Amino acid sequence: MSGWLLLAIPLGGLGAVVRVLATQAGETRLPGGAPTATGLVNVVGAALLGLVAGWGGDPAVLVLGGGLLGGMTTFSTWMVEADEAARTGRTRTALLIVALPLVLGALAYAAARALA
Amino acid sequence: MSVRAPDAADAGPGRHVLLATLVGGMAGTALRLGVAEAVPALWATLAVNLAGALLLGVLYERLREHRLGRSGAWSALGPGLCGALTTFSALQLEAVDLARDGSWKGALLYLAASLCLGLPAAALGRRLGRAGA
Repeated sequence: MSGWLLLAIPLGGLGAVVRVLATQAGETRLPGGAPTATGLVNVVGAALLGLVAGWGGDPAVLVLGGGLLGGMTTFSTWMVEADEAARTGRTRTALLIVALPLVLGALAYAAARALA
Repeated sequence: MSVRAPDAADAGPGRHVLLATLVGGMAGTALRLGVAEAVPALWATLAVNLAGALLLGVLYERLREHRLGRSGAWSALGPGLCGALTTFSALQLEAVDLARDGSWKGALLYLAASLCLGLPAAALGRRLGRAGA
């Protein structure tokens, strides 16, 4: 196992901690609560990955991209939060939970990548 | 009540929650990077994302009390393991880079496959979790 990989793993754990702190802070303070916080973390993570991919070489993409930002952003929580909204009859909310981060995340990544 | 009890949500997550998230997040990251070493990029991300959505769906139901109580077990396995096993940033990188390379169709197909399989995976996980509870 390469040394970079050993650095990426604890950073991934740290990314998860950042996400949990952000979710907990956003749960009560953001409109829409936890799904808004998850979406924000995901879009910010995609933007940061755009910068890393534009500026950094392979080790940076592995350590910061695969480690920190991979751990910080999440697909599973995104899907479960959308499912929860859909199951409780909030179809429009479910669509927003899916579509907004999808579009904003792609734009944020592309813009940051172009900037870098 | 004359004295207002401190609100747990205002106090932020406890140290045991953050430690559990850190440990679970490290395990999830190690798994994701391990799969990425073994499987070509798009397939690796798709595989960990779908597996993580399914597993989180199961845990969401099975660990319901733990989740509502923000226990260490839920923090380690849910936001920690499943959260870090799956990734949104790599999904966007791979999709946008496909589009940048001229394969718009590939990018859209990849995103559509992730969502059209990811949402049912989460829903199936929840159904399995409820059935086994």
